[in-house]
Amino acid sequence: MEHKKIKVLMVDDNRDYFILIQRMFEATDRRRFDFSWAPTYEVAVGELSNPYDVALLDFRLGGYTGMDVLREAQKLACAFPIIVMTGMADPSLDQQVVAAGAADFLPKDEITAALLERSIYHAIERVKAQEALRESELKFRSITEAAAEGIIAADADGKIVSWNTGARVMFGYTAGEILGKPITELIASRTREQVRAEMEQLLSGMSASLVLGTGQLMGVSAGGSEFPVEISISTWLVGESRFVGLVIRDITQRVLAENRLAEERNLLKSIIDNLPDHVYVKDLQGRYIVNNAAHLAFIGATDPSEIIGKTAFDLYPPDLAARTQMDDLAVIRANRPSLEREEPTVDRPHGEHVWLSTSKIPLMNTDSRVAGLVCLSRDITTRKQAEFAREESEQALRKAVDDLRRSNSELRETQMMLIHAEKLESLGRLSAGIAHEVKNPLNQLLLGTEFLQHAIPKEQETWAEVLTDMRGAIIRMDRILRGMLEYSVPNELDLKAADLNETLEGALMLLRLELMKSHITIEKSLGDGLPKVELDHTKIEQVLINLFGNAMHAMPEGGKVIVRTYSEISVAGERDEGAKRNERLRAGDTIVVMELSDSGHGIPEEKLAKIFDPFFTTKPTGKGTGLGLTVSKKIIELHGGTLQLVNRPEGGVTARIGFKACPEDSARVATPVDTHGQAA
Amino acid sequence: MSAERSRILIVDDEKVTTRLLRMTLEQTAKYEVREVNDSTLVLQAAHAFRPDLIVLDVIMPDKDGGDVAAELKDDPMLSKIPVVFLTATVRKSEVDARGGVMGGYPFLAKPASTAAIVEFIEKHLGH
Repeated sequence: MEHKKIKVLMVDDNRDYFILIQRMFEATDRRRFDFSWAPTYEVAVGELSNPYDVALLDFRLGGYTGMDVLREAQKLACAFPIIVMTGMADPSLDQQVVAAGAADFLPKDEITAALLERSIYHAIERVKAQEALRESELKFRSITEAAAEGIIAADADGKIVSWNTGARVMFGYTAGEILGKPITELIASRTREQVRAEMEQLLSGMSASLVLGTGQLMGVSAGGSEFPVEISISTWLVGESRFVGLVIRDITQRVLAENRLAEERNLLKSIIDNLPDHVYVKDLQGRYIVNNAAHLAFIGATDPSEIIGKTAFDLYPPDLAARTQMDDLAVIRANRPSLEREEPTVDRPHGEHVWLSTSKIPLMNTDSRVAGLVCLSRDITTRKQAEFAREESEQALRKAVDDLRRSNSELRETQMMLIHAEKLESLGRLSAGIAHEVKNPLNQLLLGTEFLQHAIPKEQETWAEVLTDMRGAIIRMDRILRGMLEYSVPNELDLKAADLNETLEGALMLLRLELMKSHITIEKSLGDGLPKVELDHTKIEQVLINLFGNAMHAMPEGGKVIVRTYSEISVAGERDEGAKRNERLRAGDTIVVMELSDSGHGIPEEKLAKIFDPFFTTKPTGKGTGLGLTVSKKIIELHGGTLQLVNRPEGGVTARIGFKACPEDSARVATPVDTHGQAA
Repeated sequence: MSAERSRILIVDDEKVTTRLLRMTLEQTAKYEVREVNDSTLVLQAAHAFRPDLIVLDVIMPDKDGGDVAAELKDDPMLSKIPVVFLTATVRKSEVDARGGVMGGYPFLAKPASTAAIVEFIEKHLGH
């Protein structure tokens, strides 16, 4: 500004005055002014649109006055200030020109360079200030106009004095229609009173500003449609006049959104409250922050406030609470849900043990950080009980199937035994039939051979030998036949309670000579006071003779037979091929045992299974009938006892006979008493 | 022992058996033996022969040994004559178990050696 010259338009029909003013400024060495001269009204009006900084206007201008120029300047919105100078001292003119827009009024006779200069500066500054004000107003106006809110000013009586575009769009009135109308016309009648009351309070100076509307306040448009509004009201004074400014916001969308949100919240709440599952939310400290109805009921609470802020430790036994806390922490740390975990717990109000299937899902806050847990629990007690019951019945079933399978296999085994026994029986019956038929011719052969033995001459030694051999063959055949017949004995026993030791002595007596001849010694170790057993003395003697006979055959060079008798409690049902099930010894029975152990060659393992089969023999041809053990076993089984042959580890065979003790004697258990080396 | 030979009547439906038994017993020179192979003719033969002892088989066609023994018992002329059975229908063990007597009659099981038969007969001859 210092360096820029001030452009001054001088409007005066007197050229001399123009020059005078110009000189006056030059004399004062004020060179910053650049003067232009407009001698006529027409020239002046033409210059009004040019960029001058200021105009000096003589009031008297030929047929025109300064007023005409001022009017024209106003019409053209002249941008620079106009200072009016006049030679007439008319005080009324002063007011007239100022009202017509003049920046200043100077009487010509008072003008000095200093005065004029100051007046020019003031005028320029004032225009600048006005422009700034106008700019500012324009700025605010455009902001106001651009605002979506309705911005309305009203006077102290509540009459609308200004109205922006936002208000027009919102309410549908033009400025012409609404200006001067009471502000309350914009408010739906049922909320109008509230607004009026609030405004009165404001106008009485009780408060400077306030915000109305919480979704209750309704605006009403020119068309009569209502919509929710929020109104900010403020008030200000202009001189003595008070004004009210209202900013009205159409909050339809917000209310809708809020309603939608509320609806959604209600829907969610009613969903989770109506879920049969327990739904609850815990914060990181394990405090309950949300609980649905099912969870409240499970806890035994009637209102959420009873649980909110509490932890499992406030509700459950410590061990249970600790476990819950550990599970919670695991989910939080891993930031991974734990789904449908089945856990036993207690039903708080009833103290009953129940099963829950619980899912825990990390709850994320807006920063994607774990803020807690959402938990869902379902009561699965019924299912669990059914599972347990099913498991139990499955086990029972499995056991039953196992038992069935076992008894089936036992049955099959028994069946095999029965078939085997049946085979033996039929073979026995067949043999017996044959034996009877053969006995007569055998008798004839025997008699005939013996007759010939006596009839032949003494010198015919060869004949005699042949006849002796023939007789031997007949005796052997007889023995075989007798064995077969014994095997087919009908199941008849002459049972008497007897001491097995006495039966043994009886048999040894019969065998005395044979044992002696075979160089067999008997070592006895007999139980003292053995319980009695029911037995057919003759048949058991026959069995013993048979077994001793086998022992003798097994030790052709002589040897020792150890005989032990004792009683014991059977630990398990002794199994015996061909035995009749109901006659077998059972666990817990008192049994009386006799063992005959020889020191012979033993029985080849592969033949052990066959030793009781009829006609099976390990002896050289002519030495055995193959029926001894078959018959012996049959006899023992008829007694309900058992006969087993086992190879001894040290060589030889032990034959073991077991009888069930007489019931009245079964309490007695006798242990062997050694009586070594007793010769038979 | 009497110098006179004992008279033995042998009854068996098998001719071979009675013949061999007769020959064997006669061989001992202690007995005079008659054979009967038809059981219905036993009483008649006994009346004629007047035996000191009768040896009966059990199973025979027409009339079995038991019936014959009963008839003999019922005949006053014959009832005092000892009757013994020699048969294949019993087993030695059965006979032994009953002390050699079954149904009141001594029994000997076939086959029996000459010695056994002689001993048996001698035992029941009643001297």
